[in-house]
Amino acid sequence: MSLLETHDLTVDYDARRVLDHVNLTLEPATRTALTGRSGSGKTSLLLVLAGLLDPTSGRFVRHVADADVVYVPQAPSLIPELTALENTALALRLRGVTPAQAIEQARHELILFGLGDSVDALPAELSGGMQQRVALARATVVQPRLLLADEPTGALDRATGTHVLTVLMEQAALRDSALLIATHDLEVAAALPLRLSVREGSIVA
Amino acid sequence: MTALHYIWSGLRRRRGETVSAVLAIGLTIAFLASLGSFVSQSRADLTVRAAARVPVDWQVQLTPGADAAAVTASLQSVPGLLAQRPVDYATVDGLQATGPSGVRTTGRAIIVSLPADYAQFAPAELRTLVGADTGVRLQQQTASNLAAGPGSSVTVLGSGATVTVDGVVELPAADSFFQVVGAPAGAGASAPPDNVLIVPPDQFSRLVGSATIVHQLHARFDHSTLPTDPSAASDLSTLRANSFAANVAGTALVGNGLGAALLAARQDAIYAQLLVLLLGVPGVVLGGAVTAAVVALRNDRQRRDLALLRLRGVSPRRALTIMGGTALADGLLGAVVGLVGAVLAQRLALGGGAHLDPVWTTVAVVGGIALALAVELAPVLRLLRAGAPTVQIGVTGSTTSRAPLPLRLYLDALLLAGSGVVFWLTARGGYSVVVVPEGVPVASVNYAALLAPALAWPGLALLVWRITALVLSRRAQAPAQDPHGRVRDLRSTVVRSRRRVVARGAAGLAVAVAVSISTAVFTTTYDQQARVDVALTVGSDVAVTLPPDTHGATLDAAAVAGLPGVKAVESVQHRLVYVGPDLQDLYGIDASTIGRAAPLQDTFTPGSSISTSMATLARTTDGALVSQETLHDYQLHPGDLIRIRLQNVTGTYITVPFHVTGVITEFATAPRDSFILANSDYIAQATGAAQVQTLLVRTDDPTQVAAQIPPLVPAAATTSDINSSRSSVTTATGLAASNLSGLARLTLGFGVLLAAASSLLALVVGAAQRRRSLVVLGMLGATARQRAGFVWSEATALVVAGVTGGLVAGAVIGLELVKVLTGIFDPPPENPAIPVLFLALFIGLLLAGSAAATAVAGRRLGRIEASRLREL
Repeated sequence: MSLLETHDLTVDYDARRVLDHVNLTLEPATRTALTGRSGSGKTSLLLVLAGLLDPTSGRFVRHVADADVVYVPQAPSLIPELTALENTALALRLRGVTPAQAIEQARHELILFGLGDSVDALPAELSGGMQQRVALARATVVQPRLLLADEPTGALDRATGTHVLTVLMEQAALRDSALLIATHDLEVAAALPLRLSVREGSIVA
Repeated sequence: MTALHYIWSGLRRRRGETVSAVLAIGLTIAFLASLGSFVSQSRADLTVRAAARVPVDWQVQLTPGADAAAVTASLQSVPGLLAQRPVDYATVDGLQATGPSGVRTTGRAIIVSLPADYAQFAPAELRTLVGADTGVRLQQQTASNLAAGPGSSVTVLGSGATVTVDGVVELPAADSFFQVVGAPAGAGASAPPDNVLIVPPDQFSRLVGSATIVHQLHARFDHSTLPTDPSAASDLSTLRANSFAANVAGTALVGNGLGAALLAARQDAIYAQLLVLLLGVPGVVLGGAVTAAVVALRNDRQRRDLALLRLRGVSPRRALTIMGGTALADGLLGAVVGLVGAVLAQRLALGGGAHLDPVWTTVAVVGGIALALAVELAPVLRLLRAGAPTVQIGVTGSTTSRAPLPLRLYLDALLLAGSGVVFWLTARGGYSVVVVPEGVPVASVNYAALLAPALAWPGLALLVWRITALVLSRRAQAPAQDPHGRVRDLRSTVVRSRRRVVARGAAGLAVAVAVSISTAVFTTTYDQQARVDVALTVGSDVAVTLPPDTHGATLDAAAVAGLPGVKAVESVQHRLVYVGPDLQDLYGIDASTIGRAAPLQDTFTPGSSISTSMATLARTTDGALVSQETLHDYQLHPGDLIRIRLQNVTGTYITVPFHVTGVITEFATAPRDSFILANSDYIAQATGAAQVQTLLVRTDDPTQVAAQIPPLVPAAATTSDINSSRSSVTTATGLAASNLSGLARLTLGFGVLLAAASSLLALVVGAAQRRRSLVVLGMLGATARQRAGFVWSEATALVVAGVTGGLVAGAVIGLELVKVLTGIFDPPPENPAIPVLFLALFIGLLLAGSAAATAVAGRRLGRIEASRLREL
């Protein structure tokens, strides 16, 4: 069974159509690039699939629990008063994982993303790229069945971006997670086996 | 896009910010305008009241041989004169009357000639007790001494002439009526004459014979032309009196009663000013601070807008014009709201007769607009001066993690120590913040004493800030299990890192709460003392009185004690006695039980507690508590023998020895100057008269009990109760209760609004600052309950710290106010009164309001909206 599917999904935003009759099916453990120019509707589609934006019309069916879908926005989105470790552990703690286990798993995840030396740093003490890696670690640590990431490497240099993408792919493979990554970076898109393109609110390929 | 269009669309687009800014500015303008108007209105009230209390404005005394017509003509030319009447005085050897108990003769007496319409000319000088309003009238005490009344014949010793009495009158303003015109303050007679006979002018010469006659002209002036300020009004009256005295130099002296009354009103005016300074100004300062904080909510957006405008090539000058236009619009809209609010506040707090003072209203409006301009434009100007602003500057919040400088300098400790020292110096001795020496035209105000509350305000606010930050700095331990994901430890970590922001909000809330609490403590204490004052005047909850020295009738305590609702009844003998030449009131009581029905306070017996003084009196059979004035005038000390002349059962004066056991300043139904308290059994034994002239009744239902008493007592007895007397008794100092209650209502009303605004501001701003984190939490799959938990943690810390700090600060400031302004209270309070019901209601409403605001803010800000996700 697919993870989710949309039928004639339409989203209007401030009287402007941003998604126009989108039909899409995401299968488990697939890794897909969502490409398109700025303003084409990539972010809106991710928000709808994450359950954070209600479509204006059409049908949207999800076959996975809410907790199994995680969305990582384009800008770093950390709680400024918590350290990198606490931010990462927070996602587990909200799901009822014991504090000790959450800290242990969060530490391990941060090490995977190359942040082993920065676990006790506050977001303000980290660069934008490091903050984005913490956000990704926080997303993957809960082992979602579907990870929706909006330009996850946009704030990273080429080498770090490649490393982060590799980690995401490895973790997805290890945990049988599906990945849907919105990007306008052709190299990132090329690294993913499947590609979808959005143009003026419609899936064109 | 025109500047006007930009301003208008900006105001509309950021409706929440606009409404908040306009309301906050309006609140400050309304408070300042109302408070200022109250000051000018109360000064005018004091002048009007002081002038209205004067029975005769001027008493012009002609020197022997003066041309009366010339003086009268000169008096006619004084501006504002309404009317004048000739009044003559003559001192004779005594008066004599023959009645059923034999011939009675008084000591020296004064015969006064009054025109027939004098009672209409000066209604406050005469009060008819029995008989006619005109003709020959005896003063009440004289009638008692002579056992005479309407129809009695009285002979004037010296001339030997006889008149028939038409009536008996009281002279309520005898002190001024018989003043020695032209004598320096304190040099005249200390007490008015005991024996007075008032006669029509056509009988005066026949009665006084060859006695020396003093001619006076009594004058009344139009008070409506006086300046509203008591000092200015006093100056004008004095100037007119001096000018008149110069015109009639050598032929007349002026007793300026109006000037003296207005001079005395200065003290009340200064107290009113101090009250505003101590009760109102902290509220206005807080209002300004809250307004500045609310208006400053626009600053982040403005920084961004400025950056965008500059990127579009808008010149700094034009950008400043656009931003200034928004600030001006905020200010003008706030002014409209403020004016409406001020009018409403005046109506609600001060009554329909109150009006806004144009000067203060202008000051408030200009101040409010200036505040909006300063707060909104200062950051913009800073950015423009610093160079080309970037959008990033607008996005990046400027938060500091350091403790504020005053806390690093331990200013809170220094301020509170200073306040403590000043308070100790103030409280340790007989101190008065306002001193108005007699005969000196300038009142002295010990402004240094105001330092105690003035230093305590910022000191306590900083202390709340410090303690809140300190308490919140504790790190919470993570629990072993947290199956519901409540993450209390992480919430606590968030609050801990925001402790300085929370502490700042708590300090603001504490000040707002303290403004209301201190005002409530002060007002309740004033009200408590006013009730004691009324109780002292009435005597108890209910008092039944017969005229003093009535031997024919008595009051039956047992009959009244049997009425339903009566808790205690105390019998009091009331005699008029002579201490040397002075006539004084003597009260015979049972000292061991009098406290059951009479209001007693330790402040009544300086140097001792009231219970000790009463116990000593009860132990000393011939003991007497006397006034401070008697002790001083007769050089008496506790234990000294004092011989008092009082009437025995036949009405004859006999000398009775007493021993002084102490001093007393106040007692139920007693006059404020001189009186004596002694044991009723001793008086009854010494005079053979045990009749009771006063019953003091303690009850919870004064009105009901008072209504049942008249059938049980003689017809001549008067029954009064505390409820019906409260409105008619003039309480405390000349600073009328209406002034204080008006100010209290204003300060309390705005204090409550400020407390609500402070807590709302701190909570909503705190929640808004956490909006980004709340959206992130939602994105992580946090439930609404989990998201709300983060909002509630901070709100709870802020409100608990603010309310607790405010309670303590309010109590401390209230205590200091009561002590510093002791002169306002009459009698002085033993302890400040705590308004428990108000406190419970106020704190309950504040907590409920805060909870509602937090719930609404948490729900609104925790909502996941696509637009907010895009803002991340």
